[in-house]
Amino acid sequence: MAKKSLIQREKKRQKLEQKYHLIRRSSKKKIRSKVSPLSLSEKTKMQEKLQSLPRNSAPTRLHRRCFLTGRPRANYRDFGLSGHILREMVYACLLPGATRSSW
Amino acid sequence: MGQKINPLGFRLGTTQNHHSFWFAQPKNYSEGLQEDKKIRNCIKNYIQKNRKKGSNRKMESDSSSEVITHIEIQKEIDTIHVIIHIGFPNLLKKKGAIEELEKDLQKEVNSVNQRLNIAIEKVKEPYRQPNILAEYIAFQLKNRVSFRKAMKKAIELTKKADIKGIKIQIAGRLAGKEIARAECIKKGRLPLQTIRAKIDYCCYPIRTIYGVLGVKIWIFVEEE
Repeated sequence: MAKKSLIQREKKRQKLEQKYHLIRRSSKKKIRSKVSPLSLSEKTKMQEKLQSLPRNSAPTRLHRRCFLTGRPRANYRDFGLSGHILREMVYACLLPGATRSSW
Repeated sequence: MGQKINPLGFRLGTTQNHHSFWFAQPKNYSEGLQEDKKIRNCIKNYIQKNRKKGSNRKMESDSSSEVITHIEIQKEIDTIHVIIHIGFPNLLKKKGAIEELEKDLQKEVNSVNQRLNIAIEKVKEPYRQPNILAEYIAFQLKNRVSFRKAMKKAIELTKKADIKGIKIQIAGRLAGKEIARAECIKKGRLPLQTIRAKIDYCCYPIRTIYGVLGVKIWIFVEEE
């Protein structure tokens, strides 16, 4: 079980990323645009706008955590669970489609 | 030293059905799992809360009633079916209980497009379910009944349920002894290696003053 403060920090990052997602995407699109390229001063302004957003809204700051225990390592992307909890849930018949191979 | 595999996970896909029955894109599978977890937690919390209310009035002294054996969740495009398999559904049969539970669940799941459909299914033979037996044993042990007596009593309860084999194992500081050990009573057949044998299993921790006792119950129901 991870510390609750770390889990809450991650939740805050998720909310901020969700909130500023569109602003970030549109700003980046404008900066990189080749159809209507910006002048240098306009690019600088757009960069400043990007940098004024909160840092925790960057998607690269997100970290995958197990949604049941908050464990930051050994997480499976498809399930959102760490390996230990994944195994428990498979044996409790809670993952649809999951079976055990045995031969 | 050989280790025992979990009998439920071993038989998934053959004689054991999944408790969640839906499919999703790999990207959305995790969200589905989280939703399932929220639904199950909400139902269990609701029942625990109402059990406490009931026990304040001393209406039900036996705490092994209102045991959920499992909650089945089936999802369609626009509907979520929740089937609660419960041993003694006295609580949920009261007026307004299901509607209240549905409101709670709707708030919890907060999906606008999907409807919730809750059904209650009474388990035909409650004492054939290892969950209910484990709750019974936990109740006995918390009331300081001797553990061997509790185990034998539980096995007697299953004789009416017409099963082919049962095994109960309790591990921990039995009777408050200094050194922990495991005690086990077995009756009948228990073909753990046979995949077509339908075996029910449950593992249940009990908190006592002296520490945690673990109860494991295997029940051999039938052979297909």
